[in-house]
Amino acid sequence: MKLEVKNIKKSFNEKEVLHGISFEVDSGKALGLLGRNGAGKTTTIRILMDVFKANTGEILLDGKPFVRKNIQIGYLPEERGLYPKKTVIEQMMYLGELRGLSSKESKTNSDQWLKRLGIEEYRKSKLETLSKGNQQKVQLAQTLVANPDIVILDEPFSGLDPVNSKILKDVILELIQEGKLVIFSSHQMSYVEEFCEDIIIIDKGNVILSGNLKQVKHRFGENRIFISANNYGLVELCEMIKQNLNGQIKHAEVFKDIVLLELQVGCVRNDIVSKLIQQGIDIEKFGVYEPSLTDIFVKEVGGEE
Amino acid sequence: MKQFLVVLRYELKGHFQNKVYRLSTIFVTLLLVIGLSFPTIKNLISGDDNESSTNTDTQVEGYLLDGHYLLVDEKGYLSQDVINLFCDNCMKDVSTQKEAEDLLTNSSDYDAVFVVTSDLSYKYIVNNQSFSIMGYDNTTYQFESLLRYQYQTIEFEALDINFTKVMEVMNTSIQKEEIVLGKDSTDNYMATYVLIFVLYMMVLLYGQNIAVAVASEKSNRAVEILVTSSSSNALIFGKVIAGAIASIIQFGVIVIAAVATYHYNYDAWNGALDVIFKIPVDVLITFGIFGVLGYLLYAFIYGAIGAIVQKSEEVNSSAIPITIIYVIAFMVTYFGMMIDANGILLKIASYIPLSSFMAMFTRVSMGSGVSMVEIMVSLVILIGTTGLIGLLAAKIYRMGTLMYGNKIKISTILKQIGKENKKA
Repeated sequence: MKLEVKNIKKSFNEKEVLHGISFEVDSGKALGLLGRNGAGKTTTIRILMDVFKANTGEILLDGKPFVRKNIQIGYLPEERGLYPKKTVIEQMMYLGELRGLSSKESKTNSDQWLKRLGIEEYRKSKLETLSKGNQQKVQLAQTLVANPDIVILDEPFSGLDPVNSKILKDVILELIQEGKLVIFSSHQMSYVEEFCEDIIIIDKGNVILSGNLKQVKHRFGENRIFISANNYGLVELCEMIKQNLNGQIKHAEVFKDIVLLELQVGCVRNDIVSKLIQQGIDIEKFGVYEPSLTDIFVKEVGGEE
Repeated sequence: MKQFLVVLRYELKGHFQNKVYRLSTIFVTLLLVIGLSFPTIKNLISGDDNESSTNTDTQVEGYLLDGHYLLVDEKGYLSQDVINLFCDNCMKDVSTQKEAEDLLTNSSDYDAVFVVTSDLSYKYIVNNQSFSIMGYDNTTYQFESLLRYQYQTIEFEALDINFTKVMEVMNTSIQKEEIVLGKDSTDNYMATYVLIFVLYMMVLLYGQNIAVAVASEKSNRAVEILVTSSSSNALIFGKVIAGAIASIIQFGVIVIAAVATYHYNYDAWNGALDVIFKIPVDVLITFGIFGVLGYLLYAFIYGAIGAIVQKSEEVNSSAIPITIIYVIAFMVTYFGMMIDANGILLKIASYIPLSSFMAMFTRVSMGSGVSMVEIMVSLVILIGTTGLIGLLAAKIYRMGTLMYGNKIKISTILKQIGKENKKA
């Protein structure tokens, strides 16, 4: 199954908030949908969920127009909410039946997911009596109760402790292995790196970066090396490199606990090492720089997340 | 359709599990059952039951003394036979006024003292003058009747005329057969008023409940899960119709209990409440159709109001305009009913959907000359409007419930709905 979103535009009150969002994702893979708050992620998801219609653009499923009601989607919204005064099993069965399951199927699936997430003991408890973490698990259970083909998770890890995060992580990996199509939106980049083969970064309604995560990382790391020295401080080392390797590097900067160098095209890494040794630098660390997703995100979007 | 039934079942279950719903149904039902059984209970406690009704046959209807009295009749103007016609052992003979006053002052067994001073005069002595509902103590009126009866008996006998015969002639009952050409408005007046008032209360109470329920889903964020799991039509129609069914069941339970209790205690009531409980079937059917449609119309509007507000606390203030319109519709119907059930006021109101469900029902129930065509036209307008408002409410529910934070104007939502429809 292949989901393609093509050039989606959306306006509210004459103000365009999405300026042409495009991406695609296949079954058995997870797409990381990233962006700062207000970037347009939730609006994109709501268009997918048919809450809003896009002004222009199209959504295709296996090359044919995407019809929301013909496909089972499990959606965990960022704005969590269920009925606080109702029991866990009551509302899970209700949502299962609303999504087309029979009463029996809904009950079986609900019990199965409550057990899988370790909260079966709360099935007859009112939601409001559960801890925040367990309420979050109920939310995830309701998302998956109808065995959806597409799973959209918006900040699924928020509010979970490390033990519960591990359970959720395992569940998401299982879903991917089972061939589900997963769209995963989170500000916790480590999880995105762990699950997602592809990413898309949206900023102010525009796609500013998209593609295979490994390739994106490689592209951002291309012609970049990092270095640190035992006999120089980072600032000193950076200045020395700028003065002595001026013709071979485009840019040098102190980044965290290393000096990051962007090489000129055609420059060989071994030559750089030789010259640095000749300058009397006692090399502590040296290597090809591969940026983290957080680094890429901050670089592309700017500011702090 | 399946989604609608799922929502309907879930919402109905919610209503039936609601403690306030169950307790209010039980409380009102019990209150009516006890209230309507009161005459029987009173008879049982006082032991009047059959025995008293037997005595009543020999007593003078309408002039019965109710209480216990001391009688000072030194000259013996009143005979025991005549006294027995007016009450059963209600008079205790006492020799002197002084003795009677002492007894009255020191004992709570007696209500008053009658001192007969001549065949046409008496003294009435009480500890405290009491007032009846009508503003006067009718005990003296009843005693005067007794005294007058005694006097008339003696005087007629002196003239050699049988007073019992005279009384029979005087009290000859007249048989009346009233023929009303057209409909007699007074027949169903009370039933119409009660039914309209019940409908009025049901819409106000359940309408607010529906609005609060929708607003709560918005404030607890359940709505995003709901509108992405089901069609908004199924959600709003399921909610509103579940509310209607729950209220009809509640109303039905109360009415059935009241009717059954009234019939069980019919003899004790002596048909006094027939004006309320003996409602013609055609009136009930008209009430059922127009009442349910009117209820749904307002319930959809209240549902849409719930979707527009940000918090359930804001429902009351946001619902004021529609509540005012509803109260005006009720008042127009009520005054139309009082002034002239065939008047122009009710005629106009019976075609405006916001009031037609009450006004047309009133015309059918109390007025005359309402043609089937008029009823059908009003009904079609009401059905069409209710359906359209229902669909609009579903759109507002979908759009309004996802707009968090800022206050939402109805015009903004309607514009947005218009645009979404164009895209679709």
